[in-house]
Amino acid sequence: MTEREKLALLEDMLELDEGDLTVDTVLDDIDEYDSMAKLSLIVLMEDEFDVKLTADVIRGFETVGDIVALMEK
Amino acid sequence: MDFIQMNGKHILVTGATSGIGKSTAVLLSRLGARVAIAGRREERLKETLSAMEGEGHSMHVLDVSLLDELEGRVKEMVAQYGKFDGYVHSAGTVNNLPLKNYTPARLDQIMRTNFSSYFEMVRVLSKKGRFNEGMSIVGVSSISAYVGASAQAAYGASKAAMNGAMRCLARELAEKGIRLNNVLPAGTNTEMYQEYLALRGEMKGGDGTPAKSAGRNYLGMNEPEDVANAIIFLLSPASRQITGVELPVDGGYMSC
Ligand SMILES: NC(=O)c1ccc[n+]([C@@H]2O[C@H](COP(=O)([O-])OP(=O)(O)OC[C@H]3O[C@@H](n4cnc5c(N)ncnc54)[C@H](OP(=O)(O)O)[C@@H]3O)[C@@H](O)[C@H]2O)c1
Repeated sequence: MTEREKLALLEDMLELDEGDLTVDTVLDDIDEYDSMAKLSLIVLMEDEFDVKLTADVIRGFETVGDIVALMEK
Repeated sequence: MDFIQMNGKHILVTGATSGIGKSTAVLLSRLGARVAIAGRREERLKETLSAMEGEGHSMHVLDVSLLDELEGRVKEMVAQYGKFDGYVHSAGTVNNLPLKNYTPARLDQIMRTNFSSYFEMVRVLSKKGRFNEGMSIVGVSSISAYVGASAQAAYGASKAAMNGAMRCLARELAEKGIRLNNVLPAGTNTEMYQEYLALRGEMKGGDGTPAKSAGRNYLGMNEPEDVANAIIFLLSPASRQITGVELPVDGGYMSC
């Protein structure tokens, strides 16, 4: 999966337009990245990448790139 | 004479590997009951067994979501260890799924584990020859059946379904001398709740205290033993005139 495809998965999850996110986007700057989105992220990572996110790991995310780095496929 | 008499009673407890179910099994053993403990994790069943007192207990590796297997397993238990005087349905799972993440399969998984398994266990345990006169069945439901929370829709529905079925079955099975009641815990200090708090705490950017419930359970958070005490009262003959009841064990939560 290319980096763009991974970003597209996140854009879809956050109901953003295609191209809205880059790996440098700061998560705190995304209004849509709220508590429900974090729960959705847990499901996305488990389903698509077999990665189980804990609350601690989520707390450590600063940029979109930090999430993309865990998307290995 | 002790107020709560469980001497020699044969009680099946699912969800006995952890939390409320484990605490119930241990307390029942201290009160003289013979307890059949069930759960998926064998190592954890052994831990529960070693914390129990007395004799005549049995251990059953069992996945309650495999509905078609439940009748056969209960039949085996009865053949080997005798009829039951009580059943505690504490097996359960929680998910934190926003609506858009649901698929029919995910919804089915939580309904099957929490609700359909309860229904099926009651069905197979209440057949002739599998229970003793006066059997009492206690389901571990939740205040989530009444209290709305985001990302808890299927969980709340599964617990509300348990309550609806329980009230009807209390009437239907009364003629067999079987009583049914549910306990409705609020936040209880178990592995399930710790996981939930960790997630919710992060989601709210707070310290793990779910903002909306702070102050509502004004007696504080339950320990598993608090729920076990209520379950055992409902299992015991001390509650013989009580059936079809939803008993909150919630530190006052539902009174607000
Ligand atoms: N803790 C709370 O705040 C709270 C509040 C209200 C209601 N409740 C309810 O209380 C009950 C017990 O939960 P708990 O708080 O004690 O949590 P817990 O410590 O996580 O225990 C859950 C138990 O359910 C068993 N279980 C889960 N899926 C199962 C399956 N498919 N087949 C057989 N057993 C299964 C687990 O055993 P294995 O993993 O070994 O199978 C474990 O023993 C649940 O029904 C829960 O919904 C809890």
